[in-house]
Order: sequence, then C-alpha cells, then structure tokens
Amino acid sequence: MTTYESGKIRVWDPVVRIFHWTLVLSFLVAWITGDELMTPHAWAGYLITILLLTRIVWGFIGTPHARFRDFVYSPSVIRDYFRKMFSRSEPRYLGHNPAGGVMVTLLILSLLITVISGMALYGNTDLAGPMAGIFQGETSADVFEEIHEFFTNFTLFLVILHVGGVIWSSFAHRENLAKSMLTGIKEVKQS
Amino acid sequence: MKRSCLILIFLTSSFSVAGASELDNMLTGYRDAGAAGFSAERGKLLWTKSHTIDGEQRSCSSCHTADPAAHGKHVKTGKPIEPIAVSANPERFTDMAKTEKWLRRNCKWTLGRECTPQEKGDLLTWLGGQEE
Amino acid sequence: MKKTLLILISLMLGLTASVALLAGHDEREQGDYHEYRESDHDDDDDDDRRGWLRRIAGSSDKGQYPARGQDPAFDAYRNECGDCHMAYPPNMLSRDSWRGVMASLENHFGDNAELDAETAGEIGSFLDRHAARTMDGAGTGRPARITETRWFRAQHHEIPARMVTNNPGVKSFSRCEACHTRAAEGGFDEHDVRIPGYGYWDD
Repeated sequence: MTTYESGKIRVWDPVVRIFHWTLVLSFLVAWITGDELMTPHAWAGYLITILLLTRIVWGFIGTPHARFRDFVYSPSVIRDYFRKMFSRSEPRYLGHNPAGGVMVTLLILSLLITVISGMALYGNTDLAGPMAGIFQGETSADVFEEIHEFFTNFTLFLVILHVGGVIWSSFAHRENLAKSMLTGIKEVKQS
Repeated sequence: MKRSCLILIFLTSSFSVAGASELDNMLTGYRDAGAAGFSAERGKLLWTKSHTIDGEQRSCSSCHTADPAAHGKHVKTGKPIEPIAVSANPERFTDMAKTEKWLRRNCKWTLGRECTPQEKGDLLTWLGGQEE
Repeated sequence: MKKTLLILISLMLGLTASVALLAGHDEREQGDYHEYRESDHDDDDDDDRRGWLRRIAGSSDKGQYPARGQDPAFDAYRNECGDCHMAYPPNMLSRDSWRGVMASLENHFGDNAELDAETAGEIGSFLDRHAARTMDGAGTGRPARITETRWFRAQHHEIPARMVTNNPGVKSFSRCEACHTRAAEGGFDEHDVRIPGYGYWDD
C-alpha cells in the first residue's frame, strides 16, 4: 500500500474504484431505461455483467483490500460488529468493515442474478441477446420476468441500505468514505 | 341579359364537366373496351348480389352496406369506411388508379374474378349518379 | 469467510427459488407451441458481417416505427397497409414472414390486398429494411401473423379471452389500436393500455 504524506494511505486501487462508479452509472441507466428502451438497457446489463466478472476475479487476485479474503468475515465476527454498531462502539476498518463485506457480497450476488435472469428473459421473449432461443415457452418467460423484477428491486433496496451504511460509518468514524472510494485514499488513524 | 345568361350557363356547365372528368374518363375507357349502355339499375343489382366464395357469403354490401351513401365497416377489422356514393362523398372516383386498384381487389374478393368493363361501368354509373 | 459466503449464496438462491416458484403459479391458457427452428444465417451478406453484434445487442424495440422522414417508402407502407387495419410496425415480424405476406396479397388472411408491381416492390423493400432481426419466423416465414409470434404471445398470454376475443369492443388481438391508445405512434407501453369495458390493465 502506498503511504502518502503523514498518515494518508491508498486503500482502494483503480480497478475497484472504476468498477464501483461505472457500476453506479450502469445501474442507473439500466433502471431508467427499464422496459422502455431495450437497446441501452441491454447494453447497460452487458456492461454490468462484465464489471461483475472482473470484480469477482479481482476479488481473488487483486490488491489486499480488494480481495474477498480481506472483507468477508465469519458470521460471529459479523454478528459482533452489528452488535457493536448499535452501541456505537464498532471498530474502524481500513478496508470494508464486516457489515460492508456482507453488503458487497449481497450486491454482487443480487446483481448477478439480475443480469442472468435479464439475459434469460431477453432470450426467451425477445429472442435477442446471448441466450436467445435457449428457453422456450411462456412459463419460463414469466419466471424469468418475476426473478428479474424482484432482484432489480432487491438490488435497489440494497443500494439504499448501502448508502445509508456509508453515511453512518462516515459520521461514526469522521471520514468521507464516498470520497475515499473516488480517490482511493484514507487516513491512517492512530488508535 | 340573354347573352350574359348564356355565358353563365356555358361557364357553369363547363365546370361540371371538368369536375366529373376522371369518372367520365373511366367510363370512356370501359366503352373503349367494349362496354355499352351503362345502367344504374344494373349497377345497383350488382351491388347487392350475394356470391359464395370459399364457403362465405360475400357482396359489396358486406362492407359498404346496402346503402352506398352510408358509412361502411370492414367486415373483419371493423375499420370505418367513408361513404362510396359520390352524392355523399364527392372525392370518390376522382383518382383513377385508386379506383381501379380497389375494383380489382374487391371484385376478385366478392365475385371471385375481376369485374368486366360493363360491370364496372354499371357500378360507377350507379355510384356516381351519372346520367347515361 | 467461507461460512459467510455460503450463507449469503444460499440466501440468494433461496430467494430466487421462491420467486421462481411463486411466478410459475399463475393460471394460464395453454397455447399450441410452434416448433422453433433457430436460423443461424441471414441471407444478407451485409448482415452476416455485423449480424453477430446485432444478434447479441438484440435491438428489440419492437413496436417502434422508423423515424419520421427516415425512409421515404414509409408513407407508401402506411397508406397501402394501413387502409383496412392499422399499419403494423414492421419490426413486429421477421423478414421472411413479411416476404410471405407480400407474396400472398391476393389472399391476405381471407382478403384481397393486391398491389401493382411497383408499389409492391417499394413496400417489400421497406419491410426488408425494417423487419425484426430477432423474431421467430426467420428462415421459415412462419408464423405469418404477428399475433402468433412467440414474442407477441409472451406479451399477451396473461390476458383472458373475455377481454379481447369475446369483448365486442375489441374482438381480435390484431386490433392493437382498440386497447393500445398510443399504437399509432408506436407506443405499446402497458401503462397506455385501456381495454374497452375494463379500463387499465393491472399487472
């Protein structure tokens, strides 16, 4: 990790940061174009798919704080962290804290289900996209549509929780976490 | 006074001739093809006559109704059809290509064959309110 | 870490499965399925080069008309093919299906819709240009009816017969404009649907 002037440290590498903000934009585009403008919607979805795959790979081979190993904790640690959050005594983490780790994982999973069901739906009813024609019949169309719609909304729900959590943590530890995700830099705090 | 009356009569009659020219041209064409003595009565009979095509009963009135001055409706799509009689819709038969197109289609649908020049002449005479 | 991941993944799969099961629970009419034969190749050379990209991208804004002024043959299409029924958006049918339609105008679903050769050629090319790239019927030309394509059936299969075929205000699925209030502009969004005698479509 690069250490800058007194106490600043680079936590988030460019891959993580570019992934994060491109994902935000793509999700926004996908949400807005919804059922209406299929071409930008499909392309936003493909972009999200590629972003997810990249992030997952990077989660195994990337910089230390990018790796899943760094922020996916055991259930007991997670439980403990939440308990401490409610008594406002949770410790500060340089990378994702345990709650954040759960959020990242849930978001990645939810988005994966969203894009896969989206492509399946697209291939079924519109006979378009990489899964065109694989699934036939009208029952599967309904199923994919429900799954896609549910996880679209579930992802949004997670996003709202995520933003809330980021704001909470920022105030609790007196730092601007959103800015850190932009610049990659956090302050090293002496405990 | 008499001369101005004559001029007036001449002018108005030339207008009416000009206004019916497309229809007249068509009738002339049918005469050239061998038809003669167009009759509005025969046209009217042709209009309401029923034919059995492909197991269906078909006539002009199926879509246009028995009264050509009334609004019609496409028998399948329900699309409204403007009146076909010139008396109710003066724009009818002012476009020769359009008239011939519809005559070809609709005679074939209704009768199972194209209408003969005689039949077309009779029909247009009746629908156009022409004096023969 | 492994345990957390397992828990979270199981949670997501469980959610997916529940949603899937609930989704499959609607009662619906069983239609006949046409055999779907996937066509690998367009017979248009130009398409083959860029076709793969289009097939992936889909470009399935079905129902949209070509942009105003974009194609001069559009007026001919609208005039001739919108005389008895609504001029259907060309991208609701595959190119091969449209060719089938144009080749059988003398018996156009029970009607005679003959055209002179020149107009037929103009409209035929127009349809070629704007037909759906991805639609069943590619290669076979069947189905020839928009209402029989899998795409159309998927969009409408939840609608009971009493609202359409047995509804005197509608009578047939081919009468898009009866329920789709913005059909003439190529707007088929379900929020613009008003079914005669029933009102909004509540999904």
